[in-house]
Amino acid sequence: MTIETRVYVSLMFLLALTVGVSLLPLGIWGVVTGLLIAAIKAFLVIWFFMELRNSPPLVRLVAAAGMLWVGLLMVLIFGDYLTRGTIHVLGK
Amino acid sequence: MSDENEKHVDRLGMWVFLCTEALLFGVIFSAILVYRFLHPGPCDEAARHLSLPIGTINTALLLTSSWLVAIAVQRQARRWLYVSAFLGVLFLALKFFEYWLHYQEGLVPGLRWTITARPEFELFLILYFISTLLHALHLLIGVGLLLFTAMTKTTKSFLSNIGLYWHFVDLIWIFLFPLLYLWGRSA
Repeated sequence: MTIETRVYVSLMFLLALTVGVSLLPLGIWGVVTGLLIAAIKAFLVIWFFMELRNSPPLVRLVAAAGMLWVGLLMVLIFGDYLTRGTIHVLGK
Repeated sequence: MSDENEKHVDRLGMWVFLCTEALLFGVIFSAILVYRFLHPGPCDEAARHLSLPIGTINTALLLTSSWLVAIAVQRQARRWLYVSAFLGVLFLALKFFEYWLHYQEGLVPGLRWTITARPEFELFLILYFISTLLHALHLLIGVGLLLFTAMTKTTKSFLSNIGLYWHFVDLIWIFLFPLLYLWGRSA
């Protein structure tokens, strides 16, 4: 089995896992698991299918910077909402 | 510029473009996330009106198409691009069939809304339609690009970059699927 096929099988397995987990009554942890599984799938696609593992360091830096900017976007947006006292996360 | 350099520059440019697209969809993801936290009840209820089977099959279709595009690029075998384009068209067909189901159930805000529910429920569906329609548009463009690359004599670098775009469209859906379909399923 080539590496691409192995990655594909892993992706399909993760898909089955994430759908299965979503049907369990885990509350917020179901969401966390779902997004974590999505992040793992994303890493597999980016590292293997998008060939980031064979790319020059500058390209990898640009990809990382992109993720950092999206991260910053989300940190600032959530920083706003979470400090308004209107969102109740994890039962607080 | 040497061929080698040009290939690297092309790839770098493509990644920069993909980063801008990531920010575009990142904002929409953030909107969905914030709204889910602000109004969990109505959002979970609305999400359960989406079709889990169609969503799951669609995710499987895109993952398969991404795999085949990776193979096409790896082995320089452009005929696989036709299969991936076909899988993309299947995705769009299923997606629009699902939209038709929403229409039948009166769940399309502004077009056909026959359900009595809180405004937050309706707004979640608006977020759903905006995010999936924007994704579908990107997918349609992707199908066109795959077919163009399969049928014409482009450089290997061009083929590689079109592959990157397609994988990115897959990535968007990898995140949209749990955010819209899976969250709140078990309530």
